[in-house]
Amino acid sequence: MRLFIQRLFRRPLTMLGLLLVAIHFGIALAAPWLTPHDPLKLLDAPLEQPTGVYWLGTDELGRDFFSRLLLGGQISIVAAACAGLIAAFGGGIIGLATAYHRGLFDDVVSRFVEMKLSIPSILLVSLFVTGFGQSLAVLIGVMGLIYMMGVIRTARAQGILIMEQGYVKAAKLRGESASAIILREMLPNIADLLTVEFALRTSSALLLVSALSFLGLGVSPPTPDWGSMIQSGLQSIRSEPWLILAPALCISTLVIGINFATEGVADLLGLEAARGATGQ
Amino acid sequence: MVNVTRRNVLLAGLSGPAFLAALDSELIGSASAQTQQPKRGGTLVYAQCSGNRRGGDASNTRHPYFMVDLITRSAYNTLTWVDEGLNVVNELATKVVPADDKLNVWEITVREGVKFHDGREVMAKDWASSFELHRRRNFASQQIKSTEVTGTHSLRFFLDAGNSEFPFVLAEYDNVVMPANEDFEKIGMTGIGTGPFKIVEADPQRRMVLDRFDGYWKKDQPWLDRLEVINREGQMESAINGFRSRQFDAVLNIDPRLVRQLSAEPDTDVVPASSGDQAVIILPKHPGSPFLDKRIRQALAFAIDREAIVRIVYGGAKFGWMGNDSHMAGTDPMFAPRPVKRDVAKAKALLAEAGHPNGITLPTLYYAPQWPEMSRYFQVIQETVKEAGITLPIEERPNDGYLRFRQGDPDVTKGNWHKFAYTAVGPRNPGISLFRMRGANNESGYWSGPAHDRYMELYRTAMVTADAAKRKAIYAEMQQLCFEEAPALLPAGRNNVLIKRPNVRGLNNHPQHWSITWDGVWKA
Repeated sequence: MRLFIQRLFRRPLTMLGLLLVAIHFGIALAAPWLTPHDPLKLLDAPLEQPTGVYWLGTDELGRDFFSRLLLGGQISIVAAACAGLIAAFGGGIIGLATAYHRGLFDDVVSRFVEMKLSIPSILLVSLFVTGFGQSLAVLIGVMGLIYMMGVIRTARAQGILIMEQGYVKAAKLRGESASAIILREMLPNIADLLTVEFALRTSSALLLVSALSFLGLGVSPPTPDWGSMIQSGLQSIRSEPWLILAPALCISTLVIGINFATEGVADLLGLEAARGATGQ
Repeated sequence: MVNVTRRNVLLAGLSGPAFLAALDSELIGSASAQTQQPKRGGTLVYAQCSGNRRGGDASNTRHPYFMVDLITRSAYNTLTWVDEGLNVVNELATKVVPADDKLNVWEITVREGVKFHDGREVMAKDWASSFELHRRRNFASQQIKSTEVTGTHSLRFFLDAGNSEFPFVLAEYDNVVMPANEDFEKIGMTGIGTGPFKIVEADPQRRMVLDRFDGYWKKDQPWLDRLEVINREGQMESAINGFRSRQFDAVLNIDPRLVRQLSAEPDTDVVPASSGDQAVIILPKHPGSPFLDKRIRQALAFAIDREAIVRIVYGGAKFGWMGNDSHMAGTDPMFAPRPVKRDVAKAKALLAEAGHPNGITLPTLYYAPQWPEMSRYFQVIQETVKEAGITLPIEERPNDGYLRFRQGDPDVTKGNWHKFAYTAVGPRNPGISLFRMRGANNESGYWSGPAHDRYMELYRTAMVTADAAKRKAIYAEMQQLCFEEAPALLPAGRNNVLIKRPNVRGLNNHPQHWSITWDGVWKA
């Protein structure tokens, strides 16, 4: 572990990534105490220029933009992290199960995964959100399901390799059940891979949440959210460009941070395959 | 004529101001001459961002009823037209008169020599046939019991009751003339009308191309060769970007808050209308709904800061107006302002009386961005009612399918209830506007009870009152009932705004976006 941390410190990009992620997570957690003004309160001065009181001015409804910016990442980060967790854990177990059972079960799951991968994620999420409503639970559930598909493939590939390992064969000979072998023998051995998958899927989910909010299908107003803030800032792109630039900068720094950190950690863990599996 | 040659410019060094003044006056004079003399030819491409609920459903836009309001005055005509000042004038009718003082039979003489796009002359039977469709589909035409053709160019309308404002009904965007067909369901499916332009290409919900109709009944008009309508409902930013990149010559129904920004942009004319569209919040009164309790409805009406909506959402009184919870536009001469604009203490007291001393959480209010400002509109309402202890969750839904999503079954006992949502309405004459609050209409949230019955009694009286001053007093009482009962909410409305290139001439904005006329528009 000590060696791992030492090697981590020798990677400036990884450290930068971890720092960015830490800052964003820290702000998201402490935002309710950091905001100088009520982010929902109408100050009756729409589109005010930045001042000493309102550091980034006010938005189109006259709300303090800086306070909204601080809170804007909260929902997106929670939704993306939960979706990433569902995708990594669920996808890991299903992927290992397909690797363990193979046969018809593997075929059905694999074809289903391929079928889903042929549909653009944003289209699928939009359909679900339109059908089931714009709640955070729906958003998390659908994104978790979507990103699970990629994880299933990765976990399945890794599971097939693990199946050849002696400890799995020994567990089979001991007469352990399939679920016990998957959960106790195989899952811990792909934990590092799933950690990286979790980070990668969280990063993608973050972009997806922002895109959905931008389209009006994500976080419902008046909850501050970077994607919807960019959308409402579009109208003032010429006169108040910071209303778009600031939330865009937040999204990009967080996503870049997650990607730098993930790549560095994956590299250190020797997970070349995982680094390449950043797509669907 | 001053020739701008190098010699002249050099000479200007000696008598510069005089030369420039001459040049200036020459150029201005020439521009002024251009303004007065319309020019034929050219294509005008415009995008519209209006809240067209009919175009908002992908499943039904092929039917003419789901597109006529976008192109009423380009491909079609009606018997009458409501002008920019909301006065009714004849269009294809030459005479519209009641047969007697009961005002339930109206005699119409239609213009002779008007041709359909296929060259056939419009006869009274075409009108009668078209109204067979309209009276079944158009909300304002359901009062027409039957029509009778009395001559080649005259017909009679029989209404189920008197209607002193019937000429306004004839101007409704749906009530266009289309070639007669015995099967009323097939009427209009050809896309043939009598308007200045004929449809040559239609991509429902997206784009429509119309070419000049040479047989148009107004001599010399239209001036343009081609008109292209691009539907950008809910996509105003893309429409404005299209305008900036010169893809569009005009954009209709832009967000009034953008006026300040767009006015400063080069080559851009901002044209506001005197009034415009409004959002009526439907308070469904089904079993179990909090809106069954009048006090909760009233509390909500008292808690909303209407002035804040006008100020924040519309950018001030020049581009918005406060509503009085009837369907009337605030700029209508017969509009009666709310006696009390806002009273938070009263709202709290009403909630306490209704058993909610600590406030109330209402059901989710669903809205669609049918106009660009809708998200702001509902966020301001949500924030301002908080002060009275009302928690109002809001959720945005896509434009496409919003109508179907929100609408329930008229029979509330079936359990498929109308959602707590809003409907987009345009400014109309008091008769049509106030009729929309009838209990049978979902816009009133199925309002019922003695106050509703009184309201309808007043409506019926107004409809047989030919004297406008007397009608105004009746309408005032009806609006007072809306204030007292709050069957629905209309907190504020907008003034429609369009932008255009300065070389687009003769394009006047209109409070009813469907009543904008295109026959007199030309490009310099």
